[in-house]
Amino acid sequence: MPTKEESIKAMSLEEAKIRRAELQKARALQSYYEAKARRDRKIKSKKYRKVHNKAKRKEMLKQFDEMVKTNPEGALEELKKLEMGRMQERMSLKHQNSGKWAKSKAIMAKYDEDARKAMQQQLEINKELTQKVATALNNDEEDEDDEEEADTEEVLPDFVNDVEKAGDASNPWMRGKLTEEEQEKEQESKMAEEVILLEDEEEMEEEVNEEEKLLREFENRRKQQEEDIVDETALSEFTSIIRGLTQKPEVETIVDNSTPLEEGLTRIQTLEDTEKLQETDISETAEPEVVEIVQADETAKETSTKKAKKRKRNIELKEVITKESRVVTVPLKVTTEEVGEEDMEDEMDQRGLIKEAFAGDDVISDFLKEKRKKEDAGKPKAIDLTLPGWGEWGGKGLKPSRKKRQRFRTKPAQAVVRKDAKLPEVIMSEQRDKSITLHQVSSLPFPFENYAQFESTIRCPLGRTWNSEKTVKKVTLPRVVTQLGAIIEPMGREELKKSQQQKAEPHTWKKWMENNIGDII
Amino acid sequence: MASAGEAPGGEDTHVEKKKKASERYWEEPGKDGNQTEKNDGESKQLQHKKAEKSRKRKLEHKPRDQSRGKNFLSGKTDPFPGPAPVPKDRIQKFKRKEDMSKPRHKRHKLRQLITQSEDASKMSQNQAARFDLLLPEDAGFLEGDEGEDTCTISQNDIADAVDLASSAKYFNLKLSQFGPYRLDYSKTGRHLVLGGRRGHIACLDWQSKQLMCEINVMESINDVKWLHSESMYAVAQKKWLYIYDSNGIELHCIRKFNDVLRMQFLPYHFLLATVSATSFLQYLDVSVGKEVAAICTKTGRLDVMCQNPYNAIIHLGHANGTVTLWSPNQKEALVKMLCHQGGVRSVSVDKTGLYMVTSGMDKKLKVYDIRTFKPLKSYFLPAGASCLSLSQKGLLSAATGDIVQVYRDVWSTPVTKPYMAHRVRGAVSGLHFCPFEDVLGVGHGDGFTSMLVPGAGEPNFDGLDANPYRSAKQRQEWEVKALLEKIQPELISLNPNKLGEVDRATFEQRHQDRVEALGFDPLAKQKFVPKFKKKGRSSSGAVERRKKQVAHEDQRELIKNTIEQKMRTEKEQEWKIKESVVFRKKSALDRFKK
Repeated sequence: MPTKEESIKAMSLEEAKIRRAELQKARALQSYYEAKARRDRKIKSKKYRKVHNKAKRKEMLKQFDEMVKTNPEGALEELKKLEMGRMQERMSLKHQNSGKWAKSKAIMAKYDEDARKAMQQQLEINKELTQKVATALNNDEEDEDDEEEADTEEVLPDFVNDVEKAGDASNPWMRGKLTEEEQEKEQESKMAEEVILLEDEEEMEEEVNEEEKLLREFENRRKQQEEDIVDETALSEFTSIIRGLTQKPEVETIVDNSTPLEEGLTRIQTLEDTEKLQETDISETAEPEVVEIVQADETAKETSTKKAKKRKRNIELKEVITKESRVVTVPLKVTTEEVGEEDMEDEMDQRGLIKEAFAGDDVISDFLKEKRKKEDAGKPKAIDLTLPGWGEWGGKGLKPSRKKRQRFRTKPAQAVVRKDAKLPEVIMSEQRDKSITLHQVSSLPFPFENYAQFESTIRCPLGRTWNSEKTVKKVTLPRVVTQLGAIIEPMGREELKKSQQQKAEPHTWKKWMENNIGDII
Repeated sequence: MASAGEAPGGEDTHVEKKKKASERYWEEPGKDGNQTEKNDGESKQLQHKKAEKSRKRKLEHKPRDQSRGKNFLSGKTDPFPGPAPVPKDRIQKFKRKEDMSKPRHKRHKLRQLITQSEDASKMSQNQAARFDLLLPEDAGFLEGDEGEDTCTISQNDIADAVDLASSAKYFNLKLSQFGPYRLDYSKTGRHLVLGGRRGHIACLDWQSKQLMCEINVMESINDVKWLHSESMYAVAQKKWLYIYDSNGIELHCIRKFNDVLRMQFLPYHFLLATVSATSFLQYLDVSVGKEVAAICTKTGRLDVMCQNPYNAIIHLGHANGTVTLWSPNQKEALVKMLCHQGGVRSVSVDKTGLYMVTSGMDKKLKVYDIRTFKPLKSYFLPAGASCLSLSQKGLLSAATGDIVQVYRDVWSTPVTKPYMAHRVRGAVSGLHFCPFEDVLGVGHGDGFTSMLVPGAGEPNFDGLDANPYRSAKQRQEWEVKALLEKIQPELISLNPNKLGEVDRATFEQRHQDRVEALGFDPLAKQKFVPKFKKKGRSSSGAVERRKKQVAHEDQRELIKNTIEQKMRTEKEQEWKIKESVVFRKKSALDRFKK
């Protein structure tokens, strides 16, 4: 590496030494770790594995308890994972001595001590795995009511207080939101409009962020462990050299750039440190967020224009729905309550009842939302085939030029006017009914010039259900009527000549009907 | 379908020359022509026709006896010769579509086809109008004295005033033990099935009050419905759907249909449509016992249902104030319309398929034009209406609590008062007009009431379709015919005349459907697979080479053509330049070029 050499040249001898020692340490650390991992991986002893796993599990539980305090969100996630594992164990028959092996052991168990032990162990594993994880977090959730809100502020994640998203949207009691913290409000005030409109998108983002955080956390922890594992006595030389290094921050930056291994090696010891980490994370991810906000702005504009339209339509619909209605007076007064209805209500669940009681409130807006969704789904969309980086510079933060985007953007076909475009309170399906097409005439038959002509000729039903007997007889009259059993002679030459003569004087169906109808009917 | 005896005569006339009727001294040719013209001709003499060749002609029959109008033995003349004229408005009633204009160019075949169909339709129209005379019965109605509201007339008064047979149609069945009752009349209107919520089922010939069967299923009953004839009915019980015969014997227990709340039977499709508490709409073909379609409507508990008798579309009412229209052929609602601010309590569609009446939790009663999906009228009922039913003649019955009201003409004229009102003993749970009778059946908490509603039923029945007086033998005959004429469920759509239209879908669309149905694209170009050759000539390199030979063949042609075109144009241009250089006149200024 020429650059490295140059940089070493530029440094003083001492500095170079320090640097080299430092690099050596890093390399040594890496090799130690790798060797250890390799060795570990190769161990086949069952007992070792058992102990190892147990230790790992314990460690994890310990960590988890720690995490409850430091990173409650991550802890919750972890808890969910544990729960899932427990669930799976409870569902499966894995450690319940029901497999092939276990059965064979069961036969042996009477005589064999080992077999008995093995079976016991299996059952123990099952017990252990199906045990409920009792943690501080769990307890917190349970006696949430007892604790002061101020106390929970630090420990509990915010989304614990959030309304359950899966809840019924129509249930008005469930729709209310708890009061939020001031800080969040400040943050959210920037995107106040978007938040309402693009709630779904935001949720997604949050989820992604949380996941990222969790991942990072784990990585850090793992690195921490690695460091612990390394025998420090063997590395005392390096560490003594490096100690001197800490006084010079300029060099540190260089080191950071050159050695990827040490990049995230700062020890996280206090709570503040983790917070700092998160901050840096946020600063890193800030850029894409900005982009998203810009996009959100655009969509917000669109939606705002749509909103105006929507509002207009809303009014229309309301007018339609609450149209002046004539009051009908009934001479008799109702005396009984509707017993039948009550009977039915027994079966109706609570939710249905609430829904019914509050149905009128959001019926119109719900309907409009649905209609808009359907309309949007039916609209043809523009396809953007722009490939970033082709014919110009590409990379992070660079967008393909406008010209290029225009060039590779296929314009959407004009949207077909919906059947319900002029009916505010109606949604009509735009799906084609394929089932009837099998029975329909699929192309225009020969002599007809247009569809209307053909359709008009078949408009009249021929069956007895729709016509008088006389009509049916006439309409279904065969071209030639012969008596049953009458001999039909083959055509001779004379007939042919005759038909040629007739051709000169065309013989139409109508004429034939005129001649014969009276005789036939 | 001419009878055999007449056929030879027809043949004869076809071959032989037409006999000319001998001229009579009393006939004035011009006058006769006018007469036939006026009559819109059922018959006309042949020789006149030939004279009128240039005029527009119509189909006529040759009369069996040549002379017409006169030929009485007494020598008297018929003052009204020819068939009786049919009023124009009545003809208009039976019109199907407008006539087509014939093509302007000479297209013999097309012209012939069009005239043929036009003549046939005209004849059928005329005949139908002529036979309309055979439907003599008119629907009656209730008329109060001066200053008297018809809604104040009590059922007892009506029953006293009408004839004995009709007064027997007003009766109460006191069944307080197992109510409230749901009910259904059979298609002929002769039979009634009652289903009590607490498991009681009774079938009766309600006109003769003859009990056919009475059982208790020992389970709660949600709905009862007659199937195609009075020999079978379906019962939606607590868990499954059951089918019983008229003797009360359980024929089927259909486990595919669970938690059914309401049912509708589509008589011409032999389909039993059911909706369930689990928000499923299912169709059962009762002729073959197969489930035709099961649609998850995803709209919660479904207990409001009706059918459109015109096109066999099922209408469902929902708790969010919408009414949805369904066919068995589509998984999504054909139409979804917002009708009420509260939940929909009841829906009903009239026989002609023009109007839909809905009532909702917002205590409103609304009338819609179901062809255009536009609201027509909106009424406010003080207590709302829990059940609705429309009669064949368009009377609307609505039940609020224990009061049954009947309205007339809810769609054309604004109504302020009911046509009739009646109080029954318990809260109403089922309403049904009896077909072909002026009777409204009311199922309530205390049993069943049969009310007299003048002008409710269709007075003229079609003996071949639904004959209230048919015998068992006739019923069997009808059943066979009806099964032969069964309409397939695929033909159910919003517009029942769609079958008579040409499928205007594009080729791509149709092709897509085909691909979907087949699971592969039949028109897709087959990939070239090189033949296997022996003696080492099928090495992978050789195969690749062979593949290359046929690769992009279609594009190659195109490229070749374009290149040739380009070359040609280039050459032409060159030639032009050369020409211009050679034949251009030299000007004096040319010497300065270079």
